[in-house]
Amino acid sequence: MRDIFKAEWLRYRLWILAYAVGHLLVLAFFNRLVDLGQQPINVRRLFGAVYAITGILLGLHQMGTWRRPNQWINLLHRPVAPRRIAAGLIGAGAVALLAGVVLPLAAIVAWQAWGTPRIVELRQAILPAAALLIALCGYFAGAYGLLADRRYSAAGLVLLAWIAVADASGPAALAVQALACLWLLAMVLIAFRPDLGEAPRSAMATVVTAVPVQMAVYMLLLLAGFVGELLWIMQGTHPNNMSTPPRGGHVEAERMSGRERMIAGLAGATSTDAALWREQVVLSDVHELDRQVRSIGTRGELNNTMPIEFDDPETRSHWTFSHGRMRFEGTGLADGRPAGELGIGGGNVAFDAVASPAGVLPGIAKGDATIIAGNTLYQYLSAARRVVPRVSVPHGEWLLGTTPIGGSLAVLSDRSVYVVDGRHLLDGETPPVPRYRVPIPGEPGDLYTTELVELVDGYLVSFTFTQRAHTMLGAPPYQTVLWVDDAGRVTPVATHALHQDFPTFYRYTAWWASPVMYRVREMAAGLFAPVDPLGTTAIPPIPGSVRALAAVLALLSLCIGGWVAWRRASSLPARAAWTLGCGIVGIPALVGLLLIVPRREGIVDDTVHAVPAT
Amino acid sequence: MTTFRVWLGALGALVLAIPAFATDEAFELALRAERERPWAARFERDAFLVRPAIADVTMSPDGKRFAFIRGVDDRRGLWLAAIDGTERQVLASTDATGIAWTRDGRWLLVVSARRLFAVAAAGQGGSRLLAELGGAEERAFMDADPARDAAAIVRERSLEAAGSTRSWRLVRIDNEGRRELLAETPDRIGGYALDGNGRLAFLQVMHDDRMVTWRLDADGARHEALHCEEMHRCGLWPRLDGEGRPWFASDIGGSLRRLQRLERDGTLSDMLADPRGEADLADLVADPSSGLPMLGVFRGTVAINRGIDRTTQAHIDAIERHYRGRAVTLQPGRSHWLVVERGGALQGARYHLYDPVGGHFSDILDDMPRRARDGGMAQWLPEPAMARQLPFSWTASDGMRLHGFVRVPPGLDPAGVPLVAMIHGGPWGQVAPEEFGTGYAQFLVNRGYAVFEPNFRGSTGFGRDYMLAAKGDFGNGRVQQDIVEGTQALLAAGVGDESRVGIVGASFGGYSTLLGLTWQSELFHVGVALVPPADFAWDLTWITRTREAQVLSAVLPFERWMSLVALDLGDRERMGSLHMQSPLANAARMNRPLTILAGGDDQRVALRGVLGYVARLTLLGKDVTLLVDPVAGHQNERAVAREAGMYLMAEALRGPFDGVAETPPDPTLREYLMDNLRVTGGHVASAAHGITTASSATPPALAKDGR
Repeated sequence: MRDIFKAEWLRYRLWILAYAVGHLLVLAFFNRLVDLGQQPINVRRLFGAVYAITGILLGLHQMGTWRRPNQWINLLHRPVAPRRIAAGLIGAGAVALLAGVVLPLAAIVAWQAWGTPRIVELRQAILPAAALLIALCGYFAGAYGLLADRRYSAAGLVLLAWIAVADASGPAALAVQALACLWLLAMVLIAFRPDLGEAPRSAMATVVTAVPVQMAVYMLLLLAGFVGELLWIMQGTHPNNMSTPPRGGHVEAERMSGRERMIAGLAGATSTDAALWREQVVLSDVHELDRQVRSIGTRGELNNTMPIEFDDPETRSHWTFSHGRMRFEGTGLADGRPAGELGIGGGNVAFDAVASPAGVLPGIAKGDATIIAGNTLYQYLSAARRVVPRVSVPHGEWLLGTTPIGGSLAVLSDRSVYVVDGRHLLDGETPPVPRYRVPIPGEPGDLYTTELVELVDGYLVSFTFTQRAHTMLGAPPYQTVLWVDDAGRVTPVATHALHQDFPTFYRYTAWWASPVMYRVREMAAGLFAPVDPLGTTAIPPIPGSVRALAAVLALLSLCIGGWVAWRRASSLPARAAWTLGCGIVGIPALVGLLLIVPRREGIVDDTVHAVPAT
Repeated sequence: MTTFRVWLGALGALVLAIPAFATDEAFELALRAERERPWAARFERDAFLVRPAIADVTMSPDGKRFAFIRGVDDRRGLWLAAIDGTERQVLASTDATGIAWTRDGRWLLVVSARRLFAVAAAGQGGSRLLAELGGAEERAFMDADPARDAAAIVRERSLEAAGSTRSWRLVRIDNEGRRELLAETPDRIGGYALDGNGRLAFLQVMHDDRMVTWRLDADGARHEALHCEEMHRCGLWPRLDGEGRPWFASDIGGSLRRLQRLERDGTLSDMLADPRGEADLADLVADPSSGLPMLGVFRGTVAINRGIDRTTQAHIDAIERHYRGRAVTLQPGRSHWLVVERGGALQGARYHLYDPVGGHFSDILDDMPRRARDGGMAQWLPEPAMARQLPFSWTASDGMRLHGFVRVPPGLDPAGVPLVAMIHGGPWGQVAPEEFGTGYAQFLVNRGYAVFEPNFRGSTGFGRDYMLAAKGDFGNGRVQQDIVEGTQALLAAGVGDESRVGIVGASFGGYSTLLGLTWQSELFHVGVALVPPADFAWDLTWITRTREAQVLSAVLPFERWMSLVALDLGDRERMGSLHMQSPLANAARMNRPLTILAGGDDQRVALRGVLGYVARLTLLGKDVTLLVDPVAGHQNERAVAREAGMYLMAEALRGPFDGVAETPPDPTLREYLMDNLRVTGGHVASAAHGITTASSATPPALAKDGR
């Protein structure tokens, strides 16, 4: 094994060295331009994709050179167990990735930590480990692609896709990556056998192989649906791409201006003031409430879900939020030297949630900024170098954004809209009590937009719930208009349901294609992930027609799967399991059966009997 | 006995009425003179909007040089000139809003919204930034140090952790940037007085709702020397006299503000007051040598300067004789005085030098004005073609004598022209004498209207009693009655055709316009309201919820200020009464053509209130036109916006009064109107229609057809 490892290392060492040097130079270049420790998810995905492709290419090349029949026989016909041979090859591949991917990255992290005043804490320190796991996943997926039966050897990529879509963050993301890595390793070891392309033998090996294969089939089905949607778009009848969207639908509502939407929302109003409100809306500016926080950051996350840096041009300082300290750490813009720490108030108290700069408000001094963290809007006072609370919503709510409106401040949380007087907003000792509170009549994940119109006596507030109406997870689209009067009383004005622009079977494609695979996908994506408070939707029950379609498909899969299984080379329990699996999982299991379990080899002449040697 | 009393009363009334009769006679003579003047040519709108190329002219203490800003917009430069006419540019570009000379005359303190610079003015080096202004500390330039040679006095605040005020500081900053803390106090500093050594001897702060003046001992101990409250005024002059006595611009012990000196025994001596007994002391000018007040300025129905002593008065007399009928602003230097000349018919200002030794006058800085839109060279409107500002006083139905001004078109019979009442804002504001103004009044006069600008009770400049006489009756009450009675008195005096009377105004003037069309529609046949609150009480309450209340509370808490002018916002009865009389609550009564211009970023008048009012009117099918400039605040200085105001005003008045059509808008103005007209009503709709057809464009995005 050691010799194989050495030989492989020597075979790739120059390439590895070149890759490592190139990698280091690229990282150093970008690290001069930006703080690589503070990047959003898409930058992390880009780097992850590069590392995954690196691993895939290495796996493909390494196993590709050994997979040729002569080479393979030569490799395995040694006085070494195949597992030890595999360990030698994989060990060499892993060390190559360690040298080419991890070491440069670790060097950059170390440079960040000891050579710059930038923040390096656990979430940055584990980046090399994440890179290694992603690269290994790619490597295993590449290796599996050449060792397994070509009909399903690409199924390893499913586990890479899992890493890409998993919602887990921070160390939990490492756990997901490690699970994917172990699964792929198991798949490689199952495929690493003298008879390449042979179907898995044990039940466990079959399960380890079948699950990714079925998920891959499921994803291909969804991809086919996407291709169909592309054709729909080309045809010009897709609701999102029609020049005039369907009347009364949610696409039309989303394309309206705020004023048009508010007027449409008032169409069914029966209040005696409705006519006056319509007149005023026609004349007024309709304010769409800003949402500076689009998603909630999680402490210790690998990427920055939301911006966590801001500059103070007055004091020439740059502030970055530290997940470790839960405070902002300052550096000088001119000299890059540490410029102190910013918590809340004079006591420099730690923030109770990840803090994100949220722009400026009218009336604040030059250099000042606002910060949103948890349920509170803070003001950074440049002159005093302090952070003080300005607006708070009740504990348990997330403050998402603020919009100055006519001398007041409208505040959007995940559950309510508040209006706060502007008078003592920026110089009060404590945050002012909001003058109005309007509960949001729906779930935050469904809310597409919130609009507000000032009246002489209060406000009209319109909520449009269409955000996920095109999927099976979103509430049926609707719009609600409320009136909050000057005394703070909230009165419903009108609610009207919007038409569904997308057919039911389109919205439920992911479900009826395979309810079980859909559930597995959801569970896998959410494994170890924190609950997203902004993602909550009012999920409607699955329509009977969709359930019926899924049942028909499952039944068909069961029948066809049973028929196929009995004609495949496998044991009776395996046939029964596959048949049952086809009934439960549906089409993905049926296709998986066709791909994984080989045909029974036909007997040329079943009348020939064994004849004793003579 | 009864008969005797009647006759005595009648005699007394006759004696009191004699000045009024004299005024009436003078007014008739003035009207006759206006009618006999040649008829004026018509000028285009942009001629009324030209901007001066010279601003902030400031005389050096020695009277041998003067500094000024030349240019407009981003081409403004700081210049320095000697009295022999030689000029040199000191700064090629500046955003200065003010200039002051240091006491030694070697430095210019250049003040902008953000910074205070010391600029070397005597050929020496060392120009530097002295302080950042504004910001969280609200640092503000107060004066050039009246006791030290080269220093400035600034006020600033220190902050608590939450950003509120911890203390106020008075700081001296010398020309090398060295700071000296003169005082620090929890209360907002309103004034100060330095002794001859530059020591802070008196400090004036706003404590609760009282302006308190402390005398400061050498060891820092404070003793209350004077306080004023209940809307009394007592501005502290920044320099003590030779005997260590402070001077005040104060109305303590009376109604009119005058120059008073605090004697050692604590009594106040009157030093200078309006000789006509009519107007407040509007301004004081310092002696360049002693730093003490040298002359006072009074702006009642006429503009007067008054010297502190006979010598000064002799010079003032000579100057006012030379520029008779003008409002002159004087800046004495030791060798020469700067004379700034303004007049009711004189567009812009003219600058002159006065030699107090020889009594000679010379003209300086005769730069042509600039066009408002593009800054190109323009011409001043010819004074002979402009209307003069005629003082007009009348007696209200409750016996109070009120003042105002009238402009009538030259060469026309004033009784036959339409009359427009132009109401000033505030309401705590004033129409001053011999002021050309914003150009709106002269523009309307040039279009053939007589323009009446009343200083109704509540106006400033005529004493505390005059201002407080409104007693908060700002609905369809006493103040509105003043305006109506003034208009009627003017009609009775032979100005205006009573069947063609309109009303226009901005801010409170706009509110009065809405009131006039709602409650006095038999008198006012058309109205144009700029940034009008449709419900005064509602708007005041709205302000209390906004940051503007903090801005307005700079001296006195806003609610306290309002209660002192009889507008207690917590008084439900008073507020309810104002609301019941408001145009908003009585929209159905408004039956005259109305044009409203509003600002989308107005912090004084809530746009929502304006829109709510217009929505009610449109729902009721009234003839209303609405323009909203989304980026404009309570004031709109943009040239195109001001021209739009003139255009819409002229068009709005033209319809009911059968006037001459206004020159059609050029493409820039047309685009502005198309973008911002939200409702077009009546005859303004036809003008708007002309706009759209002329440009072949789609109608204004939001404009609703007139109903």
